[in-house]
Amino acid sequence: MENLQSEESSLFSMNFDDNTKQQMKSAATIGGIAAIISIAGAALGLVGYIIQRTRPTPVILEGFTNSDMPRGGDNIVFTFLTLVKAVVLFYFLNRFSTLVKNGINGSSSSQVTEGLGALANYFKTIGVLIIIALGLFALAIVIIALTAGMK
Amino acid sequence: MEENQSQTNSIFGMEMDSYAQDHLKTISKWSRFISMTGFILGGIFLLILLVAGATLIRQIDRVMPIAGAAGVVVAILIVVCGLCGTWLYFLLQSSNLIRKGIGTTNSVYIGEGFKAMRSFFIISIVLSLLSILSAFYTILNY
Repeated sequence: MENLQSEESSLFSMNFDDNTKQQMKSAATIGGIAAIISIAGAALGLVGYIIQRTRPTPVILEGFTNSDMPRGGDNIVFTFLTLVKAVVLFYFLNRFSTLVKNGINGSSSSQVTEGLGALANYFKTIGVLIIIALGLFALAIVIIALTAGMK
Repeated sequence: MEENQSQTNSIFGMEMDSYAQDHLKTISKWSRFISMTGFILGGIFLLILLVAGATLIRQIDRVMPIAGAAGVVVAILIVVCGLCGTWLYFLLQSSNLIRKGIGTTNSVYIGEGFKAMRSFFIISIVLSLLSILSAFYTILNY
């Protein structure tokens, strides 16, 4: 019985061979760098937003009133949501990078599994965000079409 | 006995349990969804560019009355579209290889899948750096 069980387990379980481990470690290292650069980009975006907000309005408005002047990045909610998204994605990608590298260095399959879970969550989060964005876009189109139809 | 065990470990590597396989399936499924959606949206974007290309070039010439400005904008668009296409291609390839690896219980495919994912992350770095440069440019010129 025990023999059968072990045979079954060897049939269905897989192993990370040396090449797979090297490729995973390499992907994890580059993924970690990508995570840091992407959070740096998000932080820079926030700095840009703050600079735009705190900059005094020009005195010469060339015939436009102050409220007519176009100001980029006025939407604080959008900026905040972008930052939250960047932090969440950084967390998952950084976790994947750290856990997989540590797991492979220390031959700990549980850490590698946890790291893969973090990468799965990273892609899942991006996918869900894409679905939400597409849903909002479709909703906006419907509202525009309805508004145009009423006029 | 201990020596034997360590030899077995080095031959077969680390065991990939069912949880790891589930995670790999999730990675493959969602990365496939992301890349396919990206290709569809990119296709729609290119179609719009082709249809409204002439109008767009006229608008660029009007906003930036510098000789060759439209050409530079079109060249930048082509480079960014090419980068995004390659980026999505590597993600799709990674998804397909990981799925094939789990389906055939062959870890070589999974290794190749992670190799493609590494290329995906490299292009992510390039795109992030471009967006950082663009943010710097915006901040300095505001």
